[in-house]
Formats: sequence, structure tokens, C-alpha cells
Amino acid sequence: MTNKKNTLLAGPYLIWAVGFIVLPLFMIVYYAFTDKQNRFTFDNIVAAVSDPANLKALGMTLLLAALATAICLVLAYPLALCLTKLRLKRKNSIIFLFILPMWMNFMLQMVAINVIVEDNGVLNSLLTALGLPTVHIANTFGAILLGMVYDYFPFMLLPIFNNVSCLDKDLINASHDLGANGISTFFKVTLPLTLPGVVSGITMVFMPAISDFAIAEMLGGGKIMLIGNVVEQSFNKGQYHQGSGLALLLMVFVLVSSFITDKDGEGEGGTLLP
Amino acid sequence: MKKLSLIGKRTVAVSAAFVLVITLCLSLAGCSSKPTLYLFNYGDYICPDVYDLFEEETGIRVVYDEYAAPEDMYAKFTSGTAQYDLICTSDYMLEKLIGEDRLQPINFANIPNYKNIAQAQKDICKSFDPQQQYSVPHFWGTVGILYNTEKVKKEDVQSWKCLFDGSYAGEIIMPNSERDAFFTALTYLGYDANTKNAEELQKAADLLAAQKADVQAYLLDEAARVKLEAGNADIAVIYNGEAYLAMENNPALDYAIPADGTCVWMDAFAVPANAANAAYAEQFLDFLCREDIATMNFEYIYYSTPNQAVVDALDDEILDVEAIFPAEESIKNAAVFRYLGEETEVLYSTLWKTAKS
Repeated sequence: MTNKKNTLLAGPYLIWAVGFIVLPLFMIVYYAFTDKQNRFTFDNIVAAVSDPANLKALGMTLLLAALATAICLVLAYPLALCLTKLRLKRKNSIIFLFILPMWMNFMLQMVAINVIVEDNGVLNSLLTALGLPTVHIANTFGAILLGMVYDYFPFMLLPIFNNVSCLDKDLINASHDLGANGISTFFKVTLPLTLPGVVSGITMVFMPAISDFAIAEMLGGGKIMLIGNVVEQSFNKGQYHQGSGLALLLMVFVLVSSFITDKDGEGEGGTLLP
Repeated sequence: MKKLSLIGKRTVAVSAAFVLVITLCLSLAGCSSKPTLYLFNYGDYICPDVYDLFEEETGIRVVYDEYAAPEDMYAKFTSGTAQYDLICTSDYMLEKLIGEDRLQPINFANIPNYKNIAQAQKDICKSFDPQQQYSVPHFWGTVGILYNTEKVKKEDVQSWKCLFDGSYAGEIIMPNSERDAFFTALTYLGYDANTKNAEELQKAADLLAAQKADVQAYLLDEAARVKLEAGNADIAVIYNGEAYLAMENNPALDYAIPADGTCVWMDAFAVPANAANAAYAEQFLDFLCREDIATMNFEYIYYSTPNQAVVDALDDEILDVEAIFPAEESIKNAAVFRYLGEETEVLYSTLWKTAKS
């Protein structure tokens, strides 16, 4: 009976999952392995991995996603440690401040970043007013990196913060009692126990970052092609088969990265929400 | 296991019923006793008041879908998910649709106001619709250079060379569309804008790849215009209508059509072969060609209107604006984009991707 009820509860999502996740996935696989005459072929996959332009885009994508993830981690981890030491009331309002940017429309965020980093933008006017040399960030690799870090930062902070705040203070105290100094306590106790949060954060940032195309499109001025942009271009041109081949290639990378992080991330506490 | 599969069936039945109800609701909502014309057009390309006036006068309601790029239009139009009575799209795409027998000839006897369309623009249509049976021009224009007169010398923009010789490195906005970007390179190299020659296209691609370091960004329409208005870039390849808007917003900007050749584009209406109400479409086309309605659209869009009656009624001041009404000699040798066939289309995509990567 409970089994029956349980299944019924999953019913609405089942419809959703079949209609909007499983079926589209099958369609992508089907398109990836067929040509315009619906004949079976490996051409799309071969083209996806053999075209130097695709490989360059793929390399750029992995580099950008890895850098964005690393920067988010370096920013978020110490911050999470510091936040947990605050008193509860202030802690919640500060976490609220970090989530606040997510309330703003994504397009507006990107347009605003563009206005700030533009050659004649807010940042450069400020630098000029202070008598400093101007910087050229707009439409470069740096602009896309900035956009990615800005957009994905909360997804790194929250899981780490939740993990760190669940940490048992007694374990730290015990470590100190047993003669460990601050540094070895951190590496022997705090870090291993908060690793699930870190892994969860890395997954939450890295995976959307490698399939992103909108940030590159809006902040890169079309000068930097990520693999997501190549897929988008193929679909816009009606080249569904080639586009699906590329999308499948991208999916392999998503799967591999989630597999790696899954293996290391077994444990509790590292969730996006408490 | 047995129980589970039973529930599985029920879930499927419930979901099927759910989907059925939703579809019914949607189709009922779209259906009313009123005669309806289904139109597929570029975004924001007809003054919205025109639809109301048309419904007031004829009782025919216009339901319209909008798209951004001709390729999007083609994908949706040919997928068969929606049926339209009238579409509006660009020259080379019309040629492709005509070639695939997807359009039906228009009965011009039902469109008396077609006489308002200038002969010069009818002639442009001949390049993609040789018998002039399928298309009614909506707007036309040129591709040219929008530049900041305080930073860029007027002599320089008389040739596409200024985009490729490095003299404005870092200040150039190139169009983020294959055909337009290749057009500038092909014209500068002295090749035909509609060439299918792989070697010539490769040379143009090499030129574009070499130019990439000097390009600030690849942007289209409004995004390109805003960059120049704000002074963040000095030179942009752009459509004439956007250039006119930019000049209105920033007097330091001006528009030039390089002497080594421009490209004239034409957006026209056509009736799909499977249109359910071709008669409504013709009624609407006649309405659009009427002088007062064409004036409304012209004042809403500010691209070049093919409607001679509208042009005749305009002040000289606006007729002198090169960005709206180019001088006859500027467009004397202008190219019109042709449909190049699937093979060249794929080649274009590959070359463009490689040039930009």
C-alpha cells in the first residue's frame, strides 16, 4: 500500500521527466547517429571530435569552466568558514545578501556587467577619474570569466556553507586538545569533513559552466566560441544532426565530471540547501 | 511488480487525459467564429495599430508569430507545427522557398494598391522571384558603415578596406551573421557577393580570421548601434535603419555606403502553398500597400519603404537621408543576396565557425 502511494506521489514528476527529459535525450541521441536521410551514421560524432574549430572551442570551454570553478572555490571556502563564526541572526541576513543577486534577471546581470567593464564604462571612468590607466576587459576571455564567477558564485557558497555549519565543534576542540595546531586541525579535521560540500559546490558550478553559451554570447562579443555556442549555431542553421553530435560530446564531459565528483562526494552535509 | 505496472498504466492514462484536456483548451482558445489571418513575420516589423485598423475595416483578425533570423523562420515553417496564411522574410530565403515549391502565386488582381510599389523595388524582387508572382515588398535597405565622425575620416569609409587594413583596430563592430560578414570580405577582395567558389570563400574566411584581432565584437542590429551611440566603438557594419536611429540618438555618427559596393536587401511578403486563407492574405497585402497604412509602417520602422505613394508625400529633408533613401548611384552596382544551395550554406557555416574560433 505504501509502495503504491509512493509511486503515485512520483507520478507528476514521472510525466515531466519522460516528456521533457527522457524523450528529448533520446531525440538527441537519434539525431546524433543519423544523417539527413535518417540513415545510421557515425559522421556527426567523427565531425564533432575531428574539426579543429570544435576542439579549440572545447578546450576553451573546459579552461573557462575550470578557472571559474577554481575562483569560486577560492572565494567561497574562506568566506564560508568566516560566516559560520557569526551569530545566527546576522548569519542568515548575510547569506541572504549573497543570494540576492539571484533575484535579479540573468539578462540584466549580464547587461550590467557589460556596462561596467565596457571601454568607456563605469569602471574605466572611475579609473580615469582617479588618474589610473584604463583596463580593457569588454569582449575578452576575462569578461566571460567575470560573468561566470558572478553568476555561479552562490552555487559554490551555499553547499560549502551548509556543510561547514553542520561541522561538530567538539571535533575541532578535540583536535586542539590532542595538541594539533590551527593548520594541522584544518587539514586533518575541517577540510576532510567539509569535502562533500566542496565537491557538491564544484559540481554545481562546473557542470552548468561547461554547457553555458549565453554568458559567452553576451559578454564575449561573439569573439570567443565555446562549445555551447557551436551547438547553438548548428541548431540555428537547422543542422540538427551535427548539433546533436556535438551535444552528445558535451554530455559525455558532463557525465564524466559528475561521475568523478560523485565518487568523491559520498557523504553527508554537502547539499545546496540545509 | 504487477501492482507497479498497473499503477504505471493508470499514471499513463491520467497523464494522457491531462494532455488531451490541455490541448483542447489551447485549441479552443485559438478558435473563434471570427475570420483569422495567421501571419509569420520578423519581430516588430508592422506598426501594431495596423492590425486593429485592419480588423475594424474588414473584420479579419490577424494572429501573428515573430522570429529573429530567416533560418529560425525556415525551421519552424517547414516543421509543419504551425500553418500560416502569410509570411514575411528576406530575399535569399524567399528564393529558397520558391525553389522548394513552398509558396503559391499571388493573384495581383486582388491587390489594386500594388500599383503604389515603385518599379525600382519590383526590379530588385526579380533577382529572387524572376516572374514576380510570389512576393510583395515590405521594406528594403542597404548594408553600410556607421561611423563616428570625430574619430573616423570620411574618406576611409568609402571602401570596405577600412575594416581590414588595421587602421581602426579594436574599434570595429562586425555583424554576427555569416552572409553579412562574408559580404564585406568578398566585396573588398573583388569577388561576387553570391559566389559559390570554394577558393574565393576560403580567401574571404582567411581575411575575416586575420581581421578578428582588430574586431571589438561581433554584434547585430541594436546591440551594434548601442555600442556606437555610447562611444565604445567607432565603426560598425550595420543595416541602414539601425544607422538612422543611431544618428538620431548621437549626432556625431554618420552612415556611409562604401563605393566598392553595397548589398541591397529586400524583405517581402509571400503566401505559403498550404495557406488556408490565401484570400485574407491578399486582402491584408492590399491593406499594407495602401498609402496611409504604408506611411504608418514607415514612420514606425524607418527603413526604406518601397511604396512610391509614401515617398512622394515625404519632405525633401528625409528623402536626403542616405541611411533611408540611398542615392541612386550608391546602389547602382549593389548585390542582392541569392540562395546559394545547401552545400554552400554548410561551407559558409564551417568557414565562419573556423574564422571566429
